[in-house]
Amino acid sequence: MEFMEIDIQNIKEKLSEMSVLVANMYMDAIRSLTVHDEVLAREVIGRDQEADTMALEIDEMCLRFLARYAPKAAELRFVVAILRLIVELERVGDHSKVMAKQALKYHLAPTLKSLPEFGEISILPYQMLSEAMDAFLGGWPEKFKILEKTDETVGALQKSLNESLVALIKKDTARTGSAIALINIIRRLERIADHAKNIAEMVPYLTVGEVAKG
Amino acid sequence: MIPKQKLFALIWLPSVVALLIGLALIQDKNQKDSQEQFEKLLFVSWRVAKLGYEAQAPDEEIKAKARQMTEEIGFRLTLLSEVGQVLFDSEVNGELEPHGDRPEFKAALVDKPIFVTRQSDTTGRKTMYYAQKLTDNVILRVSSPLEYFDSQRALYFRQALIATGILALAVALFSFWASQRLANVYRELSVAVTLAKKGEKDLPTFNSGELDEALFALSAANQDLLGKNQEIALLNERLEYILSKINEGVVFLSGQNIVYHNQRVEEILGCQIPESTAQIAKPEILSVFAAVKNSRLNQLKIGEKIIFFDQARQNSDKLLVIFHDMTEKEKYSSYKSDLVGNVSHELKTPLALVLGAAEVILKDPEMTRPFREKFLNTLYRNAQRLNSLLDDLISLHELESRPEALAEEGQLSELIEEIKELVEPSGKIPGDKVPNDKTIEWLYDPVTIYFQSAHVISVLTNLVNNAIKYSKGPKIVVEARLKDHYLQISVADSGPVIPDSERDRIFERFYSMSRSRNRDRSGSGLGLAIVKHIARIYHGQVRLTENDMGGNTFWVFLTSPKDFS
Repeated sequence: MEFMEIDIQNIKEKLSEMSVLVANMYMDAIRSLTVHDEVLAREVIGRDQEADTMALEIDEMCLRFLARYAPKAAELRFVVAILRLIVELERVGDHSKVMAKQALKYHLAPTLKSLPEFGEISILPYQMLSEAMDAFLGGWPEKFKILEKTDETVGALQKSLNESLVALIKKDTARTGSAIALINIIRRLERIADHAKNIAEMVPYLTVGEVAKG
Repeated sequence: MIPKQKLFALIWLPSVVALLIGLALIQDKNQKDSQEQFEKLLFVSWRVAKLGYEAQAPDEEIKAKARQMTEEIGFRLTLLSEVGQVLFDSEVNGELEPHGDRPEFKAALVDKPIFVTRQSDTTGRKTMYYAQKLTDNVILRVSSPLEYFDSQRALYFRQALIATGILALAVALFSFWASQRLANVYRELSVAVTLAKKGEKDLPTFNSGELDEALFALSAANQDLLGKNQEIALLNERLEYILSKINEGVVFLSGQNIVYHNQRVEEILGCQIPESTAQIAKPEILSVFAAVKNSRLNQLKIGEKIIFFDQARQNSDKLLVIFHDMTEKEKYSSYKSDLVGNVSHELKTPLALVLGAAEVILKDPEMTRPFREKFLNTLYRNAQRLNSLLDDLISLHELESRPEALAEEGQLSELIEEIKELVEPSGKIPGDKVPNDKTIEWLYDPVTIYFQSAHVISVLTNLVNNAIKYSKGPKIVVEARLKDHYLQISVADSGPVIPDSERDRIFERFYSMSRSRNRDRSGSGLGLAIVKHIARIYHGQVRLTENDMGGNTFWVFLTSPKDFS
């Protein structure tokens, strides 16, 4: 029994490392966008490989756990939830990579200056991700309801930002490239918020075996 | 503490049990002895009867004597034929049923006489029998009822019982006394031990060498232990104090257990540290401990924080980890390298222009006058720019290294006039490409102020120059008012608005150069840093807000040195 607990702890720790790695990728991608730091952007792109390797490692750990203990009830749900969780985290890493690539391609800082809402939409998914991971490790099944609301805010911000960007394209065709890149980035941000929500929705399943759907 | 009742029971009960066992043993022995004696008596009477029979006395006489004996002492004689026919019985006259089935008769018949105790079929009383052959065909049986014997025995038993009772009572009295005595000793002893535990030197004595000695030894050992404990507690306290004061976070891990951590760790990691890493639910913190355990890295990023850690392994699962918060240091080092880069860049640019212009003039002595003037002008302008940059650097350095505020009497209106000349109409820096096309509105009270005038001038010129250079709107409003204890200076421009994120940083040196603001609007980039330092030496502050004109208002509050408390 003790061995099983140690293995669970090891999986949790590895998972935390991955989530921190992915969250840092995300934040660094945003920073590379806003201050146009190409070195940082390249670094983010490089780190995606690391995140993928880590996901594989956790996958392997989970499979070994299943083979070794043939877990039941809570432990089984834990492993299943982790297997789904790493997929979500990996996606977040992928989105961050794409954002970093956009940062390399376009000098977006000037356009961003006229979009004060971008600050909010760039930070909200990070907060959601961080809260979802806290909920996952802390076992707070009610969190996803709060995150659903935040997700709606992100959706509304996305809509309003897209409108501003379309207006910008009409006004200043020279900036069409940047504007489209930003629309793309904002869509990625919205997807990351979705992933965070998905993670939070796994928590009721993890703790009491109920499937939350929102 | 053992209660008296318990002590009493401990002494008394075993004694009573022993007494009762003794009583039972005596009773048993007594019964056996008396039975033997009775059997002997019965045998003797059989022998006497046999003698009578052998004496061949007249039959009737013997029979009468036998009957008399039976009447007097209860001994009964019976003569039986070899087939069990009763020939004579001293108690019963007349016919009796044959006694052939009686066990004593059967035993006598085979010459193995025995004593038998049983209920008599004839008299109905408990009787002991003995039978033996007189001749080949006559058997004599003697018997006696056991009533007397039984009553004697009962009497004896009663007496033994009474004696036992008296003894038990005596033992009870003794037990009571002994238990009282023991309990007292015990209580005194426990009081003494408690005192010894507390480290009391003055202990009660018992009139027993061993007890006193043991108590003394105990007390000495305890004193020793208490002393050691105090020492350890002191050491612990000292260690705890040192660990709580150091700037590093210290964590001691044993497997998954967090055996010790100081307060600073919680500050560095920004969360409560539980007793075991298994209880950590924050992924950031858990990843820190995972990294520590696997010692893959020694530098981590949690959000905005940069954390370094060192570790020392005591053995396979005991681990000491020391966390350093490097966020500020990293920030400072990047700030420093920025600064050096900026300073050298800012010095290099005008210097290159000076060198270039000088070189052209030197190489071409035949140059026409208008050309020569143009290059000389460039040379002069850039030398001026270099000079003003160095002036700013020097004044900033002075403000930083020798900050002193002097209460120098001056008229605000005079100071303002002086500043007007400096900033109007051409701007402070000669050769500045930006024309001053803005109208400046000056609002001030004609009062006497007590500040070092150079400082006030420096604040105002820097702020006004700043507004001229960076604002796009047509209007600048300068206001200087003397409030209760401080001078309030504000310079409002008409935009564009400086974003929130830059408001704090704009007061850093060379900020304008390195960040968003326009590069070709030259300035040393030190102006606002100088303003901030001046505010600091006057115990004041600087602030930046948005205003109604859609621009920024820089506020400076200076306390007069006269009012320094």
